[in-house]
Amino acid sequence: MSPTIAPPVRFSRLVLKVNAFLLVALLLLGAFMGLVAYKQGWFVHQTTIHFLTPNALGINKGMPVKLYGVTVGSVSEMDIAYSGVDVRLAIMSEHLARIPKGSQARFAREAGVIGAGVINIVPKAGGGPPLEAGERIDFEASRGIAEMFDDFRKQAGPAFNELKQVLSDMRRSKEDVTAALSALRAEIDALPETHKALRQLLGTTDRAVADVSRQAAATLRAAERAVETAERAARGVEVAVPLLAGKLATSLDSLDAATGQLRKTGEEAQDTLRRARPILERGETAAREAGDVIGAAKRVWPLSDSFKENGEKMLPIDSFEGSRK
Amino acid sequence: MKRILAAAVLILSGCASPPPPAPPVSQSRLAEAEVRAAAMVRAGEHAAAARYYDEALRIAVSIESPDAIAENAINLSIVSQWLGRDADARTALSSVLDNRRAVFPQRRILQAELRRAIVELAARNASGAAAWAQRAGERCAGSCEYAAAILNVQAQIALDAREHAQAARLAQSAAERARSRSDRAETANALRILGRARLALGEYPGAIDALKQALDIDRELADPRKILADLTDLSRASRAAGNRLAADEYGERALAVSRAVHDARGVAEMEAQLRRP
Repeated sequence: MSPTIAPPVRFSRLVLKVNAFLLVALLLLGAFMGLVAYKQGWFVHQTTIHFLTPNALGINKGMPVKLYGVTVGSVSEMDIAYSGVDVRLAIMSEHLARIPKGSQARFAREAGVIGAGVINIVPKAGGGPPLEAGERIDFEASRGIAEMFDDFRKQAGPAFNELKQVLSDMRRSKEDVTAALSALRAEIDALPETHKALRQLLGTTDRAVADVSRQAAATLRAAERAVETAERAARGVEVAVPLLAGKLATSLDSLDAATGQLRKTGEEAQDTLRRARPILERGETAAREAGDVIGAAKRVWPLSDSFKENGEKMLPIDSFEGSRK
Repeated sequence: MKRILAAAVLILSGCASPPPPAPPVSQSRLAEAEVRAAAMVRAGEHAAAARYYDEALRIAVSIESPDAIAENAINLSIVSQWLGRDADARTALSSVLDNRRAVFPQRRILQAELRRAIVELAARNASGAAAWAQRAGERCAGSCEYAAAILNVQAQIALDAREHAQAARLAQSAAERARSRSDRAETANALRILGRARLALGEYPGAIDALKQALDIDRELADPRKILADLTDLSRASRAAGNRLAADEYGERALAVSRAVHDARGVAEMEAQLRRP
């Protein structure tokens, strides 16, 4: 009789251990699958809506659908239809009430023109009855950078044209300013001569005033003599003549003071113009240089495109003009 | 940081292009006059626009540029017509149509012929308008961009001559041509003439339908003169169809537009029409 073979101690309860391991592995696998299913929204009731797009570039199955920036579903199916691509969106039913009929789907990117693509639902302004299962919504295709730039160019075109007009006016007026500055400079150059002439005039006036004073004194003396002679005959005149002489002396004093003031003013004006001359010269140079800079800028990319003349400058030929009268 | 800046400058310098040589002085003056004229048109300063187009035309003649001559002559004719100076409009166009020395592009000659037909039509010279429209039509051969406008002019001539069926046929054809080229202005013009022709033929529902379509387009184009014409015709068509309520409503709208654009004659006509029992 052969002896009974006893299993080694290290493999005792092996079946139990294997079964326990398999059970734990199955539980983990199930939990993982459950997690994935939960993440995929398999436990959430979803409603399908769809839209039609002539071009599904950038749209992928599984792409998130967002409402007010919150994910409310995903792209579930994409089928080629007769006039484009039929894109089906699985929307969580609880959010469907927030999407009224007439809402619009748009392809957008999370960070503007870059970033992950999403389908953004834009609810209809003013609300309305909610969408129903299987209903179709409008879709607005996204615009590329080139289209955005094109739009910008179109919108900025009138502004650039106005700017161009202003620059053109500036260029034209620059010629006038230059001419005016040149004329002003010529006048400033002639100022010393003018000043000299003014001084001569003032000198002449001084002399004339002195002559008048002298003559007035002589006249007074003669008048005094006449007064003495006629003192007895005309007592009233004796009283009046000194008064008249006093008034004449006062007038001469005033004229002298005015002449002094005029001389002072002329000197101040000359000084001011002398100080203004460098400023005017600098202004002229600055205007000329600004014109050069603007001219150069208009010919250099990217501004040159904005200043290009339109190819067609024709006014529209409208047959309506024939029926105006 | 400095390296990045230097690299950015290098990359940007690659985008730069050397400035093209400055254009000749006469060309600059021509372009400037054209730009100023266009700005005046936009600002509604038609008299000033005419002056600038005249200057541009003079410069274009001085530098013997056929395209610029034709372009500015046509523009001057349009602005002159707006100012009610039909004689000036004809004179401007004669610098293209009667010029034996310069060789103008066919397209420009066609444009000038069409413009001349429009000027003659506006001046109620039906035979002259028909002759110029026929010349333009022959040059166009039915396939140019102005085919719809030419047909509209011919339709209007037929309408003025009380050939209503012919006018309707031509206008229908013009509408189809204009639609095929997405030319909304001429589509609306064609529909307006079609509506008038149908109204004259006693086809009131068809007339109202065509005029409503024209009004929709003209409102999109935001041209008050055309909106006024559409509303006035709609008022007449509704009245002819026996719908007094609609006629009065269109009439009131036309009256409001007339007042808004200070069209005293239009106001008087519409008030008279509204008073009519």
